[in-house]
Amino acid sequence: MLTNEDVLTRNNVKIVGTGEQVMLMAHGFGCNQQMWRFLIPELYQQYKIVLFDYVGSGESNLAAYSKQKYANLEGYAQDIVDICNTLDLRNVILVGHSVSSIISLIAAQQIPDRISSLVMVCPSPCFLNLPPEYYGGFNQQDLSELIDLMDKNYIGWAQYLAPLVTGNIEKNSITDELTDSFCSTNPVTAKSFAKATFFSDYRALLPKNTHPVLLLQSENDALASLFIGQYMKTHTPHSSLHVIQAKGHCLHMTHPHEVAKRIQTFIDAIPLSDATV
Amino acid sequence: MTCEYPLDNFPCGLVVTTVEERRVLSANQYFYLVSQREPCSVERIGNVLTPASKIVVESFIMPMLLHQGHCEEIQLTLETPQLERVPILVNAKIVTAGSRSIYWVITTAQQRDSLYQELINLRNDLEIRAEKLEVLSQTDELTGLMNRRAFVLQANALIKQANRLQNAYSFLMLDIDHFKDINDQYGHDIGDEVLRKIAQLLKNNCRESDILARIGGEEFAIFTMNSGNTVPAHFAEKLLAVIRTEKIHGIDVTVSIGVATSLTGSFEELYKAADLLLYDAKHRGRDQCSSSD
Repeated sequence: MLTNEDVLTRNNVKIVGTGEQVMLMAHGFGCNQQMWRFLIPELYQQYKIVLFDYVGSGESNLAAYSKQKYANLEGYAQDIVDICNTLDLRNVILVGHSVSSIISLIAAQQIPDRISSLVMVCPSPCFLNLPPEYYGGFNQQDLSELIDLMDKNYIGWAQYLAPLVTGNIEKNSITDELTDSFCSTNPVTAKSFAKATFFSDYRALLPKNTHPVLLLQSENDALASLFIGQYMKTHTPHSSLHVIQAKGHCLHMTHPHEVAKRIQTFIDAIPLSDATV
Repeated sequence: MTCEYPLDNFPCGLVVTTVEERRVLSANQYFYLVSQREPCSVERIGNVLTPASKIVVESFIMPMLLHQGHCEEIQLTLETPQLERVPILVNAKIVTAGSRSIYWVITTAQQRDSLYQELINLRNDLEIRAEKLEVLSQTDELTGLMNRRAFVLQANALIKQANRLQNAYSFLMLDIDHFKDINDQYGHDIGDEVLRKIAQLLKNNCRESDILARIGGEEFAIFTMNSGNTVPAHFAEKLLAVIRTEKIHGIDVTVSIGVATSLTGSFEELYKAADLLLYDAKHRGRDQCSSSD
């Protein structure tokens, strides 16, 4: 039984921009809503931009974290659904980075009437190689090593053993002190997010899409190859793919101007009737 | 790319790369030594990293560098051409003077890695033990049901929730009739068997949302949230019938039940009320329930 205020504090929801139409930006694995800060100046005049942190990331309320709920992407999608319902958002453009593209897609299928379109920055529906028909880029072993590497990195980050002692992440005051760090610092939540992101396969979700989708890709992305972009385009109805002349996985941080321009062109091209399909 | 690096004697890898793609612009000898590559043969820093390390670079290091300009003490893994894995520690910063570049410092971290591995193993071990202990501290050994301690904790939490939603709730206290006689006549093993069987019967007939516990020798308790179509006294009658019709080791076993229902009462109040009602049911001849409704 969450009140409106509960959801807004829980997800550290921030609203910026002077426009009318709502654009909700969902950060990817590893960081928080601050990763949108380079893109916001490009779009804030035209849109009302809703920013948030997933529970377990950024300055979200860790007391609301549930290991079970956030063990798969549906749990994260519920955060988006809750925010849209709480603020009674309509005609929303969902912008998601990396794994949040898929999280947005799950959310859009749950509240189709509230969503107008989806923008996916460097998306991938599955990071695993599943030969012969799909190459997500990584083997099971690589991804297990990732979890191991995250473990090793978190040891140096203060509250590694604390959750064990308190038995409870919400009782951990050190966690709260560190939440202003840009990247995830909570070992429990970050590892769950990593597992939900990198061990999942949401390819089956793509054909069910009913909204206009813009896929933005970079020419060379270690996490989402051109093959994945093509795969997304082929299997997602109502989608268009644009490869930005750039490299890397954080286009919205490295090439915000180009990304904003593409988003604007995409939105302008959607006939009003389509936006509310 | 220049190979005559003036800092070749440093016992750590020093690398300058572009921001995009992390193309190696310059690197000292140690970097090539540690990654076991020919000098000047590495085009991108990513080429010497394992796939998992590339994810860490894209998901943590790059966003951090772009956001705050620097990052410290990130552990990654180098992969040599012989597929050997070398743990390394990385500090990096973006320098914007002139053309934007990333300056990397790389040190090997084998010892730190083994120490951390030991810590991880220890933590995992502790985690498993803590979980086991938690289960043990909440479980009644004989029946596998919740014990009294866990029951009190959970019931109190549910009462708070019910009060907020203004829901009524009930406390059913069950006691096996003439249990002492069963023990005396058939022995403790059979007595234990009866307790286990009753626990099983109760479990099969409770809703998933009910809390069921063994709270004393032959005493069981059920805490249930009342919903529109269930009357707690009917639920108690059903339990009485289920137990009455079941022969356990050829013995006819019955129970008596006290059912206290409230909208606002505390756990202690409810407990006391249910206890008195149970006493009343016993007093009136057993194998029946006494309810506050």
